[in-house]
This record gives sequence, C-alpha cells and structure tokens, in this order.
Amino acid sequence: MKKILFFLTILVTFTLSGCWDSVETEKLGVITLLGVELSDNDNIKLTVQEVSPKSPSTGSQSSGSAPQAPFYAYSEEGSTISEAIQKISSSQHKNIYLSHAKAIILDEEMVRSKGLKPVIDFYQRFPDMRLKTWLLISKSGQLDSILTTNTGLNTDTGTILSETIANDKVNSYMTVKNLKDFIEMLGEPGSEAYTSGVSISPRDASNKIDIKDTAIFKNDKMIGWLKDDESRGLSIANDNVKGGFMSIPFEDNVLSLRILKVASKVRPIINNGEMQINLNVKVLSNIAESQGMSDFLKEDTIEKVQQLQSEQIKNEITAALNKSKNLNSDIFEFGNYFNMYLPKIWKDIDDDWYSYYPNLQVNINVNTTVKNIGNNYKTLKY
Amino acid sequence: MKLSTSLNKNIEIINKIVGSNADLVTRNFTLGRSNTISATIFYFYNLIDTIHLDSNILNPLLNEAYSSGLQTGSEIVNAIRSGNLITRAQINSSKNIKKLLNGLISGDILLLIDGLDEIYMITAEGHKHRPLAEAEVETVVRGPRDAFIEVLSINIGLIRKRIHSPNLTFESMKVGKITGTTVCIGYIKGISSSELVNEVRLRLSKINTNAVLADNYIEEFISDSHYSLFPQMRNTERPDVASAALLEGRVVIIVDNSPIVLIVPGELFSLMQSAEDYYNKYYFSSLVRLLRYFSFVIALTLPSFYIAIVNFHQELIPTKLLESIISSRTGVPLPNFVEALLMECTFEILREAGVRLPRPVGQAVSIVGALVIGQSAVQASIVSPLMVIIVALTGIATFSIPQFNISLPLRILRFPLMILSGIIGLYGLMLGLSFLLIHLCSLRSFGTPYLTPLAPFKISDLKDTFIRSRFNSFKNDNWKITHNKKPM
Repeated sequence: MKKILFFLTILVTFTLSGCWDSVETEKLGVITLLGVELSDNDNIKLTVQEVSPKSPSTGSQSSGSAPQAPFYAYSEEGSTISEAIQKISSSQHKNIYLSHAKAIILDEEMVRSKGLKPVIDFYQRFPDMRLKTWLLISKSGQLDSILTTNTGLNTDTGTILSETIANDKVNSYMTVKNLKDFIEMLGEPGSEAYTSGVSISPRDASNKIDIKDTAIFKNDKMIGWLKDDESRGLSIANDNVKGGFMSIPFEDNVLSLRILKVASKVRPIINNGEMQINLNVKVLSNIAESQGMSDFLKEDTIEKVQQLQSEQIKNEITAALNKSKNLNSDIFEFGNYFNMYLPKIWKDIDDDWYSYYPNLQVNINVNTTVKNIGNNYKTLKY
Repeated sequence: MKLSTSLNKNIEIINKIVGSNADLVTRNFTLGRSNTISATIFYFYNLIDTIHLDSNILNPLLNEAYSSGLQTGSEIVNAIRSGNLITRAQINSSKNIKKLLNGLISGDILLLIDGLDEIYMITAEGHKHRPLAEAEVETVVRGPRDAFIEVLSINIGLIRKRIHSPNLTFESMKVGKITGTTVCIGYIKGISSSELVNEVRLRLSKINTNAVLADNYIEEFISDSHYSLFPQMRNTERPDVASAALLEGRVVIIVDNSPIVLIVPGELFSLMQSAEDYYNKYYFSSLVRLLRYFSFVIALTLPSFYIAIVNFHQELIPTKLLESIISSRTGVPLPNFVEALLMECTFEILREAGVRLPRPVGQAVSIVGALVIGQSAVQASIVSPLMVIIVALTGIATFSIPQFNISLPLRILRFPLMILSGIIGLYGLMLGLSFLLIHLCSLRSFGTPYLTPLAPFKISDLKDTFIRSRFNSFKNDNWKITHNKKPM
C-alpha cells in the first residue's frame, strides 16, 4: 500500500508542473540579429531579424516562383527593449526566441549620445540572451539598411555576420568582441570597452556588409573610431590577433607577411618613481608574397625583414596608443594591469587615472621571427 | 496402495489409475514351457523404443530363455531376478506404486510377474524428438552452430562433449507437481563457488507449483527480484555459450522440454555479450562491443532526448539544425510528444506483427508496409520526417543488442522516459535515468551485484566488459565469478 502511495505521489508531482516551459518547435521565431537605435521621439527602436522557415522538403516544389526571402525583419519602438519586444509580439504568430541571436548591432548615434545605459542591462539580465553574441556598432544611419536589406546570399544576415567574424584567422584587423568580453571591459576598473563597426555598401546587384574599424568607448559612451592600422595595433597589443597579412615596404618593393602567432605581454613597472608600461610583443610570421626579387635564403635578408616588421608593428601600436591618449580612453587596459600587478599603487591613482594616462610612457618592444618563406625559395630572375 | 502377489490384482491396481488411456499397451504372455507363470507388460507405446522392447525384453523372455535351457516358469523368473535374462541395460524393481507409475509415464516398461509383489521397471526411452538443428536466434557468422533441443539427456551430452573434465557435474531434480519436469543443475566442481550451487539447489527445491513447461517458469520462480524489469539470468540456445559460462564459474540450469538453458548469475554486462565476440579477432570484437553499448544508450534514450531538446532546450541545437527541424515540422498537426508516442506505438505494433507473420509473407509485408506507411504519413504531413528517422534508429538499435531478454526492458522503459522528458525536459530524463541507475545498482543476481565489474569496481574484470581483450596464454585465468585461482 505504501508503495502505491509513493508512486502515486510521484506521478501527481510530475503532472502538477504540466509541460512548463515547453514550446513546440514550429512556434519558434528564431531571431538571429538584433538592432537597437534611437527613434525620432527618443524611444528605443528595436529591429529583429527572424529566420524564415524553409519550405518543407517533401512538399511539392513551387516551380518558377521567386526564391523566398531568407529572413523577415520587424521593428517596433518602446521605452525599453522588453517593451519593444512586447509590441513586436502583437503582430507575430510565433514566439520571439532570442537564444539563437548571433549578433547585436547598436547604432552609432545612440551610443554616442545616450551611451550604453539604455541597452546593456537587457542583454545581461534577460535569461534567453547568450553572452557569446557578437556586439557591433553600425555606422550612423546604416542600421536600418543592414537589418532589412537582403544581401542576396540566401542566408539571414546574422549568420553572415557570425561567419564573417569567424574569418579572423585571415584578417588581422578584426576587433570584434562578444557580450561577455565587452561587458568585462566595461566593468573592470582601468579599462574601456571597444568593439568593431559594421557598415553596408552596395556591390553589383547585392549589398556588401563590412566589418571594419573599431569603435572606442569611454565609460559608457562612444567617443571615436580607430581606422585600419590603428585597429591592428590595438589588437596586437591586446593579444587578439589570430592571423592575417601585413604589408611592409622592403627594398623599394612591398613585401607581405602572414602573421601566424602573436603573443604580447603587458607589465606595469615603476621606473625612477615614474609609472611605465612594458609591452613585449613576440610575433611569428611567414613570408607570403614578395613584389621584389629579394633572396630570402640569405640570413641578413631575413633579419632585415624581421626588423622592418617589428618597426611597423611598433608604429601601428604607437598610432593606436596616441589616438587613445588623444581621446583619453584606456582601451589597452593598462589601468587594469596596474590593478593586477601593483594593486597598492592602483588604489592611490584609481580615481584620477585619466590625469596620468595621457602622459603614461609605454616601452614597446617587438620581436619578430620569420619562420617560413613559403613554397618558393628561389626568386624569379627575369 | 500395496501390491499383491496376484498378477490380476496388480493389473487391476494399475488399470484403475492409467487404464483408460488409449496409448497404454498391455501385453500378456506366459513364461516357461512347463509350469508356466503369467506375466504382463505395460507401456505407453509413443514413449518407448520398440526395438528395445522387441529384441531386449520380449525376445529373451519368449525365445532365448528356451535356447539357454530354461524350461519352467520359475527358472525363468529366477533368471530375471538375478538380472541375467533381460538384456536391456537399465532395469529396476520396485514395490512402490507411485514410483512405478512415475516410471511408466516417463517411458519405462513395467513387467508384472504372477507371484511376485514387486514390479520391474525397464527403461527404454524412445520418444520422438526433432533432430539436432542449427541455432535460430543466436546465429553467428563464424563459429559452431549446433543448438540445444528439447531433450534433456541430449543437451547434457552437448555440453559434456565440449568440457572433458571429470569435475563437470550435472545434478537432476524434478520440479512441478503435475508435470514432474526434470531440471538439471550443471557446474564445474572447484570453479563454481559452492554457495552459488547450494543457493540454486535451494531455490529450485522451493518451487511449489503444478506446471513447469519451459525455462521461463523456472526463471521467474528463482529470480532475485520479481518486479524488476531487468532479467537476472542469461538464457541461451547454444551449447558453446553454456560451456563458456560454466568455465567462468557460473551454474547452468537445463530444463527438460526446453531448448533454452539458463545461466546463473547473469549480471548486466554478461547480458550484453554475444558468442561471436570470442570467435572474431579481439580488435573487431572490441569495436563491436562499444557499438553495442552505444546502441543500448540510443535504444533507451534517443526518443526522450529528442523530445526534451526540441521541446524545452532549443538553445542547445545549432541554429542551422533548428531551422531544418522547424521546416520539417511545419504543417504537422500533432505536438512533438504525441507524435513521438504515436510513432513508437506504431513501431511496436509492427514489430509484434512481424514476429507472427508466416515466413513467405513476412519479409515483403514488413518492408512494403513500413515504407508505404512511413512515406505516406510523411507526405500527408501527419508526422515529420525527422521523427520517422528517430523511431527507425531506435528500433534498429534495439535489434543490434544480441540477447533478446535485455532488449525487452529497453523497449518498455523508453515510454516512461519519454513521458518524463515530455513533462519536464532534460531534467526529467536525468531523473528517470538516475532512478534506473539506482535500481540497477541495488539489483542482485544470486548474490552477485548487477553492475559487476563496474559497481563493485574490479579492474581485472574490466578487460572483458567494454572491450574484449586478447586471449593471453601466459597468464593464469582467474575464474571470473568466483576468483578461484586453481580448479580442484
């Protein structure tokens, strides 16, 4: 008798919860891209891109009809992001499902004027959002077109963006950050956040979506852009480069080197009572392309190449550093390093770090090794 | 009842009990040329071998007695009593009516002689049975193919043929009040632990039932746990499997009239083994074993896992796969869980029907039926194609487990796990699996824990569970169940 009661209790307990949180798959509106900007009356305008379901494969193929759009875009405005979602759901027959969002695009103007405060909390607090979604800043005025234009590649833009970002093995200019890293940089003392920008431009019959330039923040507002070389300098200094090509002028010609590995170490030191940063960068590269006729089998040619590359990298880092000093934003996280390695000193200077930052001396030391010279070991003599 | 010395009285006693049988034969004759003494033999004609009756019993009594010089009836009776006349090998005498009748219905010939109050029982078994055949359920590609049949003595012979050890012992007992089925316990003295053998003997002697018709009757009576879905002993129709089990220290129970022998104890990992594991190279067998365990997991949890992920945890699915699932499910009217239950029930119906289809029709109907039903259902958008794939995979996985009795609990437990995962997602699936694991850990088979060698962890035995390690002639075999170092 006791056993029967036991099993009945278990049975009742299970049925009491009643399929809580169960959603049928076909009711899901899978959102892969979110875009947030300011509307005309200062509200938050949320645009979502939802993947449209492919036609069922066993159904009859509709012959000669136009190919289906790969996504639908909906946009609504509200005082908060959740309110905008609510308004979108009133015209949607599917559940808005954010867990598959690949990227979030914030409008440049909103981030410059109002900052991140209206939007950043939602992505942390809402349980459906993943912290691994990429965060991008769109060039002003382009958010709408990025989210609504069909790129002609027959996939939704979110997938295109995430797969483009995965190309960072051959692109050294990428500085995209995901939500987790971005929020970490925002919150850590002595560091400022940055992430990549995205823009759209017409190309032939379709549209080209570009990820380039870096948007720099100070506290929660965006203050400027870093261009190509400066972006790379920033990436190298922050140990974020996974590949890519670098062109250096060599012997009146241009030489292209492929970056294999970058390891950079930042150490704060006190030198003669002055705060300094030691930035040591070790780069491993291959020779990818040579527009001249240099003989790379000779030792001193390679040494010259290495030295030139180190110089170029040092220049790029310096350019990025100068820009960040001009804009007075510590995107290199030097303050954070002081906090990590010399916490006693950091305690004193924490409050007015930015009075010290523009005059901070950074000793940059770059060490390049050329590992391989490619398939061609003899240059063409003509 | 007591026998008397009068032949007619004895005939009456016997006829009272079995006389109304149509297959009982009574043969009256007289012994001796002078001073004749009457005698009668009783037998059931479809239980005996008439050759023995004619040439070893009737011929000496009626013919050769005279050629050896016995003339009077009493001389012949004396010759019978000293055991020198009847040339049949097994002959006993008894005054116990019960024993005599038991012998009569087991295939003995009863010889009643006027003036004696004891009756002779002469064994002349010759009932018809099917010839030795190939194994039908446990087939192997490479390996012996002979299988047990329904005759106990032949089965014992098949095992003795393989193990030429004087320590191989077969004890027999009768179980079942009305059926009187002979049950044999086989073991190798010194390899099997005596506690195990005693326990088997004890449990068999405690069976108090009228009928024992097949080995399953015995299995249900002597199992450790009567309500557990998991079988606690292995059964096989192959003598090589039984011999291998005996060599591991297990005990074999052979039931008369059943071509299946039981192997005791049967822990989970021995139930997942196949005879062919030892007839192919070790690397291939190891891979096949790993595949088998993978099929075990799939057969048990794949539909529930699918339901849990697709209904509750869609964030775990890669986006492209999710899009495929959504597009395959557009237009399907049933919710996921109901569709899964429906398809699984249909598959079970198909499987049960397929067992009973006559052979010429069976193959065609099952293939065409499955194809047609599956294809039409998908095209009519009643079920989604992905669900058909999942159900088919699950069914195939249950078939790839070599022993039938361990795939039965998987087939049953699929459904509660599906219900659990349909109600509370992966958490429900984990709850169900935890419950199952706890149950398996607490289960014992004749004292051996069910999850040996994983649960009481024995590294030395692990070499034969998930993989089959190489036969090694330099190491001493450690008898597996008892861990004796040397046989007696």
